Amino acid sequence: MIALLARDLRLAVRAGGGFGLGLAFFLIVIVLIPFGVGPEASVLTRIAPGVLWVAALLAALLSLDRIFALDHEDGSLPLLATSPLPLEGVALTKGVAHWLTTGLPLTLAAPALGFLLNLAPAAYPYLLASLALGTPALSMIGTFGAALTVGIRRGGLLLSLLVLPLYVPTLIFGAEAVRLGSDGLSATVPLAMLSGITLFSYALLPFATAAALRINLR
Amino acid sequence: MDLFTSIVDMISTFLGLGKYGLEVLSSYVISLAMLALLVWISARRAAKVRAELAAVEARLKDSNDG
Amino acid sequence: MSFWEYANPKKFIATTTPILPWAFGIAAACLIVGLVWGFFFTPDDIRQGSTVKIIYLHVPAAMMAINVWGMMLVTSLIWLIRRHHVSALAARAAAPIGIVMTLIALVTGAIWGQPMWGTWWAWDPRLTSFLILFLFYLGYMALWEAIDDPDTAADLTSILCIVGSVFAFLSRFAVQFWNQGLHQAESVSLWEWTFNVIARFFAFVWNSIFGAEQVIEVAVREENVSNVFFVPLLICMIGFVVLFVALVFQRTTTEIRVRRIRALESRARRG
Repeated sequence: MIALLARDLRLAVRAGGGFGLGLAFFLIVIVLIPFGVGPEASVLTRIAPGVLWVAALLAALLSLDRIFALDHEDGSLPLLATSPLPLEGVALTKGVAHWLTTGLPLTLAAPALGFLLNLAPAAYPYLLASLALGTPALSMIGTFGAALTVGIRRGGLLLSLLVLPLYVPTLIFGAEAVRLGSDGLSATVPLAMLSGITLFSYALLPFATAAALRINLR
Repeated sequence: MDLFTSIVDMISTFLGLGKYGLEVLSSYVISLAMLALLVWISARRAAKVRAELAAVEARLKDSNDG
Repeated sequence: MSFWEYANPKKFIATTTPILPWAFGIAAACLIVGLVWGFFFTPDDIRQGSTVKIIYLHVPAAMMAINVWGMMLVTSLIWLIRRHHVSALAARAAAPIGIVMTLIALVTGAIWGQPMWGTWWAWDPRLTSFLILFLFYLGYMALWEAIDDPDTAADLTSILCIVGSVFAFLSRFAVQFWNQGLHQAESVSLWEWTFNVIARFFAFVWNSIFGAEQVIEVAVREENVSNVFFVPLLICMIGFVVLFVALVFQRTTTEIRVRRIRALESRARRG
């Protein structure tokens, strides 16, 4: 499991795709927002929590189809399926690897981009906490979506159609936590719900992911 | 537009719908149109597929006989 | 004689085909009677005016939008557990019906909201949940279309349906948390009104059966809610359910035939 994790991380860093691309996308979306809504600081402060979360979500979405695509193309997916590691473990590892290469950098980069959107100072800890707690769920849900669409050529668009509705609860609680934080209110409830969704996703979705992979490998 | 509003007003007065005639009428028309469309598409596809299946079965039977 | 006999496609078609004209007939009759009754022979609501007539379409459609998804969940589970093809095909046949129902509920809700709330769309928890449900239907149907192999498609869509149901449930609660409702106390709510109508009717029935000793008091906020709305609403609901059953039977039969054409053709090609 650790070997697989290390291999996936090595591949991601070497190919450079998921790593840099997601971050660059995140940056560009955030830069585009003020062009769209105008440079007024108070407006930006108000929409910053939601915009940061939506942009992070879209950036995570961008690299989802690569989770299984490479393994599918070079034929290592059937090998993984027959390896001693259960497929559920493979699914879990893939989710964690995706988070380490996308969710974690996004979380770390978010405060820097918060400055661009004039995010309220009180919101920074909540931004970090909510992204750190929420993006793992995004990765695991995305891994499930990627497993569903692994056999489909040009499944990227379909993948986003399938995964985006599943992202709704995570997004709501994540953005809500930052918004409450920026208003100086207690954000314990949304943060607790967010961790609940993440734990729930990692507990159950590996099984659904593995089932989808088995069906696709049949 | 004026003509349209006055026609809607006329109908809704006739039906006793009060000032919300346009809302009520349009929701009925849109909903029933959607239901009708659904039924029509289903029926057309059913007829097409049934004919196609009959054709395929007849062809296979012929080739078996011949 | 077991329920599972109908998992045989031939038996399914043979049983449902004679039912079809009846089902469509009953559905049409219920809809015509219910809608005409509701449209012409029920009074206007004091606060909502004649827009109250929209409930005869909106409420049954919204009810079916959720029930169809529930039916798809059950048939998906049956397919995954017992591998009956008819079950998977019924789920596929039901999805477009569900999406049309969701669309009707959304559109009539928007048209009702315009004069009542002064806006076509409010991010009200109930409206938002239906919008999310609409997206789930879209994704489900897109996945069916995208996969060539029928068994793989049935398996994957079933898994999506199960996982989607869980997340749809989560979304429902998340949305409630996110916006406790723009239009809570101060303005009219179509659903609260409908529940009042239904509650009032059952209280009426109960009281007339058991007499004066055990009178149920229903907390009805609006004074003018009355039983006259209930019967046409019930007839419309029955009409929608029967129409759905008829359409599912017909569309499932079509899907079975499509599957058979494919099987025959591939057999012919092999020689």
